[in-house]
Amino acid sequence: MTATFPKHIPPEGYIPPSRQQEPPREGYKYIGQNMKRVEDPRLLTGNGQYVGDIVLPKMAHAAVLRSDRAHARIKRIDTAKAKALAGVYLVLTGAEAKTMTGPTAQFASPPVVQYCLAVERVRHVGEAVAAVVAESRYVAEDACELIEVEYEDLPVVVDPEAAMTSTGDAVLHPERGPNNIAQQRTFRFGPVDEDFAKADVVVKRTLRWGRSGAQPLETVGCVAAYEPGSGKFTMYTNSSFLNYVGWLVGASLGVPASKLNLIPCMTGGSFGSKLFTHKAMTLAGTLARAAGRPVKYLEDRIDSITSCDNHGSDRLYRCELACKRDGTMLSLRFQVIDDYGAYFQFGVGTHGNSLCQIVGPYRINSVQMELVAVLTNKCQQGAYRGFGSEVTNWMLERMADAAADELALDPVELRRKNLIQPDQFPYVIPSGNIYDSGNYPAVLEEALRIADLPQWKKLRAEARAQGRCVGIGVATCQERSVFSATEFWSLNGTENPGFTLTSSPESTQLRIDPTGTIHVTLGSPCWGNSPETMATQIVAEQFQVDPSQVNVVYADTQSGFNSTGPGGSRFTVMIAGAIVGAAKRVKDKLLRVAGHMMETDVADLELRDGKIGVKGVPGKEKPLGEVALFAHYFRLNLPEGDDFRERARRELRVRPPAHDDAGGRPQPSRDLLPDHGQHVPRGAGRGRPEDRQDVHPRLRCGPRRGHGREPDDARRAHPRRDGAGHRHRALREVPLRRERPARDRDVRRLPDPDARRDAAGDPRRARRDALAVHRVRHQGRRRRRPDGRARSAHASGRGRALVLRRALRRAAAHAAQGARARARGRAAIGVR
Amino acid sequence: MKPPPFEYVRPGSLPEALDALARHGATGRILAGGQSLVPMMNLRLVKPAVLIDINRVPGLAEIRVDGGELVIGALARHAALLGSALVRKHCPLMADAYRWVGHGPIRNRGTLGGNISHADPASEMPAVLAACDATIGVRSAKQSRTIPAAGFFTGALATALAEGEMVTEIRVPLAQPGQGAAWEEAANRKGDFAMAGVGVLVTVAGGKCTHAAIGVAGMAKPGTRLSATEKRLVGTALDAAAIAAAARAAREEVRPSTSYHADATYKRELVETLAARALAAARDRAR
Amino acid sequence: MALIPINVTVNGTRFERAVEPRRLLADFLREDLDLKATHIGCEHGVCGACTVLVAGEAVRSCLTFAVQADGCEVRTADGLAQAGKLSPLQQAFWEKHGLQCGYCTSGMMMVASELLERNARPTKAEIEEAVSSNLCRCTGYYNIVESVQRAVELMQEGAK
Repeated sequence: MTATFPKHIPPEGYIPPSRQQEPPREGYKYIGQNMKRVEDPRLLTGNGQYVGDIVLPKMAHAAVLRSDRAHARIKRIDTAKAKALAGVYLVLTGAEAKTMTGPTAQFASPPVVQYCLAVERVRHVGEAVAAVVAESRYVAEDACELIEVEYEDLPVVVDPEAAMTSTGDAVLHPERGPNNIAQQRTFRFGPVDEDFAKADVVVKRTLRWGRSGAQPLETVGCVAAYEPGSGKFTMYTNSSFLNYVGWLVGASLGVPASKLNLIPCMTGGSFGSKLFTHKAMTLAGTLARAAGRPVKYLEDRIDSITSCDNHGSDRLYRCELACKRDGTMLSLRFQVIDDYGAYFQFGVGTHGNSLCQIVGPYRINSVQMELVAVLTNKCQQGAYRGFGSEVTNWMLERMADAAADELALDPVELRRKNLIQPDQFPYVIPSGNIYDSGNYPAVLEEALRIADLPQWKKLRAEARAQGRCVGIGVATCQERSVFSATEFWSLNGTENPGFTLTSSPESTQLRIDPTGTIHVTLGSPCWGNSPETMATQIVAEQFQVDPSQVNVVYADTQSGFNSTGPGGSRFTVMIAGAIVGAAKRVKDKLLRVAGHMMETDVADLELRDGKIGVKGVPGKEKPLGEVALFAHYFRLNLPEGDDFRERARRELRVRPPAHDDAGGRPQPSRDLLPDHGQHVPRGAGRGRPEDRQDVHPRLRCGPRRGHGREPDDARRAHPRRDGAGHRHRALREVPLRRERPARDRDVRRLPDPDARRDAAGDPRRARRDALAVHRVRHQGRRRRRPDGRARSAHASGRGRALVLRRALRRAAAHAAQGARARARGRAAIGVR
Repeated sequence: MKPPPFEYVRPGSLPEALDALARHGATGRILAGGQSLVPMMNLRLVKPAVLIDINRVPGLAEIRVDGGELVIGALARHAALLGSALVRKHCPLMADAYRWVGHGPIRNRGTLGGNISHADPASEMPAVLAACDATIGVRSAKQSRTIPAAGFFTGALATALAEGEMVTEIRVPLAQPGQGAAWEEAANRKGDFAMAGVGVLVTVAGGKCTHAAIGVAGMAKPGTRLSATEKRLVGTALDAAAIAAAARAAREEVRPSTSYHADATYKRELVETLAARALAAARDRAR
Repeated sequence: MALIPINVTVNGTRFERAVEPRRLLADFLREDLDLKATHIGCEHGVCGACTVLVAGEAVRSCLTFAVQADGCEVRTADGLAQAGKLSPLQQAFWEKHGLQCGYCTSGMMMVASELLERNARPTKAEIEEAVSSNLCRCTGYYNIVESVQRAVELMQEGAK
């Protein structure tokens, strides 16, 4: 999978202009209001239509035999007994599957070849070795037990540092080189050596962040059908990125995208785990074609835990933070060894994400990162909440606390001292990213105010007097939303850049039927959040109709435009713009038709309460449905000309507004008795959020996941050798209701420092209303100071010469140009 | 994760159940609550050829007092025991420990007989029964016998049950005046199996400890008593110093296994802490 | 393996079927009876997504064989709504945003159903204890507890 660089590369330092189309607006009727979710009635009644609910005629069930070895050669596989079992339709080994289906999709460059079933060698416990298709999942699992596999064990590599020096048979992918280092590069941003020379103190720490995983309640699955006559595949999938990777799955199966239709299903939680799900699709497709009947392959919990694509970062940091004695941070230098497991599907994309916010909210002048990506005999990393940047935040906060310790400074004071100040935006961080706006000190002060720190300190003193160990932790984190396509390959370097895509689009279609119902087709599926509610609110606002008049559906790959999908908190941000754009087109046309019908100038018309009426003349109006009906079925009554031509289609470009999820994630403190009592995490209390209750679950999910990590990190009792030991246990790590912070996370909205960028009808406002926001844009643009002078990163005086390697210069240029993912809207009402 | 095939037998009486067990020998397994057995079957860790479902055997789930003993039928559900006034009155240690056992739906099905037959070393009840000097009533088609709890548990997931035998009842001596009981536990999440749990029974007379029993969970062997530590306590006033010394002794006496959530060292530390808490609580309740 | 005839009343409807002894109740409900509200999450009793009521008691249907439900009354989330009208519990989950992806929701509602049938006015602590048997990965649980509290209110209003 390669592509050439586009010919046009914008000049270095180019910051694209704003694409803001509408000024901000107040007084929304639907947006930002607490609304019962559109998705809920069907979910509450058991009609969610998850992939596991799909049943096709003649459908068979697949199960996978998984390796119980961490690293071994497959010497022999005997499937005769399995094939002979009654009810078994097909048994397929890796070698057999390879004759039908190519390697699975991946983004690493150079690639680490992976197949849907292991060929010749297994590289982690749980790797798929053979698959069975049978009349039921029960029989398929019976047959798996009858497959005989003879292995020759190979040396097992589990320690990431040891992996750096592996040789011989301990090298997982010998065809790729003589060691297990998948990628090793050093990146320098800014005058690191000079800054370190100025330091009074260099704080050094070695930090270890262990693996975690998404553990959605619903596993990954696919129901695939193959039609031999046409050579077409139809697949029901819970992938969130079906429009993004569908054609890659087609490539694995050896068919063009036109022969592959992916139909989205409701997703039972993703948290990263459902982004691609390409292994399930590729396997189910292979089996359906070979078995000659539709096949359901639904991971069970063991499949999911041992061979998923949602393991998070697994990093060893050696960090040095250069500081002045007063606590001023100067420079950060670190080596990070990241254990990617046995394969390398996203390359080092998680570090691309990290580098976009590498200094967090702090003014750190320069950064040096040595990245060592290693391959070991573990399940490969995939996407998990944060996609690597959460680990960087943790590292930064550990270093901030370490600095406060060594310098005997108050940790809050040290943070306060180093925060980027509101008047310093747009702020170019050393790695070249531009933070567009924010007010970090205000966020911190508000958090401190709500948390009532003096009260906590008093409680701490009392508890300590009783011999209890009580700690108070503070973290100030910066998290951006919306990724740039460039960050997945920009670290690869020019010799092997890989698939150098520069944009990641989102799409929607909007139409009004003759009854006046507005249909919205989203190009990305539901990944377990509230896209229908979001779309309904925007459309209801745009057309001033009751939400019940809006119908939201999801496109399959055959009918939808190319989309990317929800990931990196991008979906609402992106799709909202597309919906607003599409709605404007349709609205314009509706008004033209209504103007003709009512013999009124379009400028005098307005949308109100489901009707189009003449401004200032109550009662002079027509229902939306009547106008739509006219447009659809009375074409000859309308004038000729482009204004009324059939099916208006326009391409809309919506710049990717980037904004942040929440004002930092609270690092829970622990009320830990010295004599090993129950841990009682207490999140920093933050009052009560505002109106949008449907965002509460999302906001609480993240901290809860933090709590899930916590006992694990504290005890460090896991002999996590090869993953075999904990395959049944992962759900035991998941916090239950009882494992909750004593006080909830609360979110306050702070005044948006950059309110000018709001677009009317843009649900960013809705989200922001409930979120304390400090925002970051992945790519900047020229903007004006309050005094009207042009201000760019360089003009601000803080724009420093971006010391980028050649590849990064190109990447940054692409980021500036291409990270504006494009959203396309198709506006259509039939005018005949 | 589907269970392997098996033959299903649903006896309507205890003799029928025992006959089935005799007939199927080592390949037959009793299905009681199934809350440990069925997960293991779904994971294909055990593959019984025959499941003998005793859930409809009448009279096996009783909780009653018989003379000086609380008698609990093997099929008594955890939920019933947790809510039982008889258990609270006559075996407060069990009632205290049940706060830590599983969750609602698990307790609705899980049984005490099944629990102890499974003999998970991290489970609370083996330790409770050992501390209470309970006896386990066991029957086969041919004979019936009773086994002291301390001898019933022979190792992790291993019991003194012979082929063809099943647990039919558990007999616990009634709590006596002057006796105090307490269970303390640390688990990764409430309701999970214990990393370490300590159950204490102490009898106090004239300000002195006349009897002490300590059962621990989460160690290498289920139903472990700490007899050396118990001896140290007898004759003391159970004051802070005596409790601290006993807790330290308990830390040394236990034989912890390293488990997923806690290594052996950490478990020893937990035992010391939990033992001290449990002893203090039991002492206070004994007054 | 020989099939065993069973008859089970699910949500008020009696079904006669023949099942393999090993058939899990969860699969019986979902596949044999096409009642899809019961979701399967872990298949070893840890997550609670498959919780249903058998003879009024909440049980994990992944740890129960269908044969064991022979002659029993089973209730699932498919049966909560009556005549197209959401039950107070469903209504409360909707109002209080007690769900997001919806995968755990059926199990949560069945656990709550059992609680509310035994105890019409549970305390918050009792609700927390009850729902703590089930996993949710989206909500952080707060809204679920609030939903059950709201259901108590709605049921009391309905009873008036």
